Amino acid sequence: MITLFGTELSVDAYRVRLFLALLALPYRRQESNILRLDDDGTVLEGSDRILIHLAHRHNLSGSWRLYGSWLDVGRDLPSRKLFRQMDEHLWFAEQEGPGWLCGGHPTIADLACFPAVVLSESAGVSRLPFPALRRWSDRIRQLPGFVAMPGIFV
Amino acid sequence: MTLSGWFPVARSADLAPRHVFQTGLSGQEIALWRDRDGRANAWENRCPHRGVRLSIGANLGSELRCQYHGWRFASGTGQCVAIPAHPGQTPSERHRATVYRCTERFGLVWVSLADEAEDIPTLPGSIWLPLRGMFVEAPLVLVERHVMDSDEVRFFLQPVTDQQTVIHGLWIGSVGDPVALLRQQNDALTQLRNRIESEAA
Repeated sequence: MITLFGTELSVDAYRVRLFLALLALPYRRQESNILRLDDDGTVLEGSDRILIHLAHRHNLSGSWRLYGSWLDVGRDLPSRKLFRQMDEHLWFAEQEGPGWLCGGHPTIADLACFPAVVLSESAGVSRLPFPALRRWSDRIRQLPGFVAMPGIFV
Repeated sequence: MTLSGWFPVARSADLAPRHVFQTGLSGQEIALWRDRDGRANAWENRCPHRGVRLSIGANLGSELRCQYHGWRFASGTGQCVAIPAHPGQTPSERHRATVYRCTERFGLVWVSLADEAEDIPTLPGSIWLPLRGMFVEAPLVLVERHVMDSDEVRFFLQPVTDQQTVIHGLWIGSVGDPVALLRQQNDALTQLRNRIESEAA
């Protein structure tokens, strides 16, 4: 049994909730200010570590596992400079494939970056100059099992 | 350098199905969307009901749905066709998104904010490869001074606001590996952008 300790409005907890939903894993949620996941006795803290753990234990096809340097990027978002780099990277990813951050599938790299991207306007960073980034966030919204968080329009 | 009433606002291929593309022209925000028949719409990025940005709405294929109260507007005319809060009511003619003239040529989407506009410039040849649009934080007049056409590439500028400009390039030379060419031209435009922005700062 998986138990997720976290708060409804936390961006970190949302990353994990979104991944659990996309993997269609049942879980219980308990209110807590510190994000923590208990997976049948294995206890992890921090959304990056939790995403990596879930990708290895529960994603048997392995398609979600890659993340490159994007978990670090996800922590520093939103920033205009990083949005520029992401927009360029994603535009070329669209020319050569389906347009995900790491290769031909959505991965935990995409999930780690998604919340800060779609919440950027409330942090004062417009996405108008980054059209490839906007298309990518639409692709994530269209993934089967996608769940929204308060403030993120579906 | 070609300037007229028509301005490129996006690469045609970047207007993805079921997507609403957010851009701007001369300080006017625009929601661009392609309907299921392939027609491109350019509308003021503002719902006529409560002023919410239409670019956060949903492209339903033949209608655009505002995210706020779900009003739906028809491709082509911008006429409101459904108001969920009043399902039995036919929406008034006044409930209409502001529609701009929009057409596609050379693999680019062009918009004119005025009713009358000169023709879109003509280009030699019949094969054009649109480059990735390069967004520059600088006014059009400054960007204009740095951008130079050649035998192989023509540039068109989109003044997004008075401080932001997009450089749209059309490659008209020979193409071997298109993605390699796009990368190489994108690198050159990135360097140009950095020079312009350091001058603008």
